[in-house]
Amino acid sequence: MNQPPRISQADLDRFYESIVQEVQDRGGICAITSGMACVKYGVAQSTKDCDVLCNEAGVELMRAVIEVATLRGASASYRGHITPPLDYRWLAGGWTSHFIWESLPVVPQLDVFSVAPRASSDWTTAVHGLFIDMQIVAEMKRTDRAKDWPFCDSLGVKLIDSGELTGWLHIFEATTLEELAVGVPLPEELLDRRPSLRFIGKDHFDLRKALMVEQTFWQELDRVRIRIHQDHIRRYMHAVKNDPRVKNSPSEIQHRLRIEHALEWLPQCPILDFGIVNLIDEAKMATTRLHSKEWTKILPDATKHFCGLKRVSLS
Amino acid sequence: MEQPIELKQPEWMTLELKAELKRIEYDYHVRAFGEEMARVNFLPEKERMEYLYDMIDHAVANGVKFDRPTRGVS
Repeated sequence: MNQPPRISQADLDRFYESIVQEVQDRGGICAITSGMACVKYGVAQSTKDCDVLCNEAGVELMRAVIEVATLRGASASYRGHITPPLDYRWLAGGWTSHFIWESLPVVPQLDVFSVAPRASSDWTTAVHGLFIDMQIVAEMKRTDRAKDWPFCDSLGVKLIDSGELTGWLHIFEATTLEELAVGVPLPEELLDRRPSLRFIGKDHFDLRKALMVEQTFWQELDRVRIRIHQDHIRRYMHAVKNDPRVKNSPSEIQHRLRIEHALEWLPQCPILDFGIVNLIDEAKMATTRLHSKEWTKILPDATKHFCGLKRVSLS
Repeated sequence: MEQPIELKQPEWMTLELKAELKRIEYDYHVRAFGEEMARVNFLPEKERMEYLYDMIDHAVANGVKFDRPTRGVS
């Protein structure tokens, strides 16, 4: 039997972009972030999926667009039992909805969320065309995965190159920081926001140590954040999995059933339930297990990096 | 429609510094991603995208899986 022709990455990107464009055209605030945004900004990443941020209106519009968006005849469906409903009441609390277009040789995957993890400013005011601002992408790349960190550095340098001194906040390599310091101003305000930068030009090894501590802290912060979500999604996932009505049902029914189970089993915002201060304290404790306690004094104030996280009325 | 990004340069951004920033950025890309990807990252957008698309399509044709696990959180 003949295999259907593969969908090229170029076609996939155009497909994702058409979805985001449609949501924007209908009045939603919506933007591509993460890997595809890095590629756009000139830092190549081999990614096949698409991460999209949507505001409240955008989430509803996205659902309507996804429902009719077909690719080579394939329709979208929720990906796996674990996927929360595409509903702002949960997305505003930090959850992500995953979608796939099945029955294709290459399965397109679209992740939709409303809160940019670790963002320190409102992403809805930082949309350029179809993409989110470099600043937000760089903050989002401070993940628990080692492979993401070179993207922070690269975007940080690009920000400085475009005249944005906030790029200093995203660079975690000592050599690059030291080279930049020769000609680029480093305002006191940024030193206050990121104390590790104070070691630039003083002691190379102290600077490297401070950057390592900082990176460990962000990684631990991400690990705790993900663990909290995973702890709170199990009962919802089992409810969806064990519901015979879910299997092979049309996406509209899937959506209704997922909301039904989410209302019963999925806490809207587990991070706020756990407490941002508690989350940060746990990440700091983990950091002190790996580095000495005195170094945690140089850590930045991470409380600002939960921008947009909120509980929305369920009614 | 894509909004144009304002290209106002601050006073501290001299032509010499601009050139130096390009060198710093390129050297970092070499250290972080290797010579080949550094070269690709500095190509004009159209050529860069073509290179990447070819690379990913080739990887997929040879069975490379790009799937990430679903977690319900990004």
